[in-house]
Amino acid sequence: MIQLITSDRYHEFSNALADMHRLRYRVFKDRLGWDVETTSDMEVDEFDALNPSYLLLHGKASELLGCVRLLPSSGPTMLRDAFPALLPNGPIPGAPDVWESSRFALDIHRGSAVGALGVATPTYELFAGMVEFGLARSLSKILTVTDVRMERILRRADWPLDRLGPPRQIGKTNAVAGYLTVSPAALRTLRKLGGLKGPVLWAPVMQAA
Amino acid sequence: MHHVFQKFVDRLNESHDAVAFHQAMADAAAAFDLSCFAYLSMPRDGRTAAALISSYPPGWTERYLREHYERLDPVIALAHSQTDPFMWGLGSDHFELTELQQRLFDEASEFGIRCGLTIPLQDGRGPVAAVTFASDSRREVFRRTIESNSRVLQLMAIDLHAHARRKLWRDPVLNSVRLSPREFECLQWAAKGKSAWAIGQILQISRRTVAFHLDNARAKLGVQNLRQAVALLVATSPS
Repeated sequence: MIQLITSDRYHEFSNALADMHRLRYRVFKDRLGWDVETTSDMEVDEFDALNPSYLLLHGKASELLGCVRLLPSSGPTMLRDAFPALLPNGPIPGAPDVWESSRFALDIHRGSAVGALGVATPTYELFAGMVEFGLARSLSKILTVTDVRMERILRRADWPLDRLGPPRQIGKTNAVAGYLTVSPAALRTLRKLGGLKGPVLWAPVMQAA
Repeated sequence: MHHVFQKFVDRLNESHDAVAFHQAMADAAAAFDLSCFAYLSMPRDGRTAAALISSYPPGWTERYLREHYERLDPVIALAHSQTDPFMWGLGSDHFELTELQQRLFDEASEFGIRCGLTIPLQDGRGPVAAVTFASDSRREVFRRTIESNSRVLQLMAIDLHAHARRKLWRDPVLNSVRLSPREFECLQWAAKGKSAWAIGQILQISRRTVAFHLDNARAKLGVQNLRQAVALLVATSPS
């Protein structure tokens, strides 16, 4: 199940957000060794100050398995402000039907269910959540800076990255920028390959009293 | 408590200068019955001064600065070396205080600063900031406040840091373009004639990473090559 947290709801889900920052610490600092800003066991960066929407993937026991951060391309994005060198043809204008995803992280244990082509089911779920988010907001594409390892996983999951430029080495990772398609067809494929029976995204419709 | 957090986040969104940040912080501290709230940035680049936004009583801040308590304060020392949040205060057995340090704590308590929680923030290279919540309550009351709100307080601390990083402690600006500290550093060395390999040796990063930072700087400055980017730096530097 994927929980959508938009900026107007941060206060209702402060525990989940804290868990998310902890998961990001475990993935980006502990596992990948990136040069990120942290406090005790939480990771944060200045793009969290832009009121992003977050998708949080929960497992059967409600444990947090993964997360991703989403920002409109009409404002500051990591590609524009932190990684412009990944665009050999210069900056690209923002568009209302394009959002950027960043801080995509999965913290799944061994023995997790695996869907088609050796991609873990939670991975398919988070991808499907991103497409559902995009469809609900009439997006056509999701922009992202990712690494070549994740690019291979996206290709195997049949949700390939449409590259904007060649990969470049940044610190420990080989990073590449590109677009992911948001379409009902993309969602159908991800659901089929992931063995997902229906929608994965949950969003609150009522404000807490 | 949720409302305090939401209100704090809303205020942070509207804050664009130190005065606005100060007000947002003071209101949040008051809502938790904490007498003060401080954000200290500890930049490493040697170019930006350390800066403090706090709701500490001005009389205390004056005395602190006049007596150069920052050289003596065990809380500051610990914020430099610790990655986990820590509590401090009168009667705390966390520190073994010298007589001078004990005097510092006694004087602080006269200004309503009896105990506190400090949350240090780091990046890959070391400490970058610290957020402190302080109280004039007795230790047990304070401890209970902290424990029942620890997640929200930590979230507030990291949100404050994210907003301050974006809006207050600005990255270096060249030609109205914001460069990251790393990009600026690499460009400065390039302007001195150092190769990407040599810069990598100096900064202890790989040659390819240096090349990436230089290319980022070039892209942000909107020029065709590194030579032009260096020319911009040289043209705008004080001679």
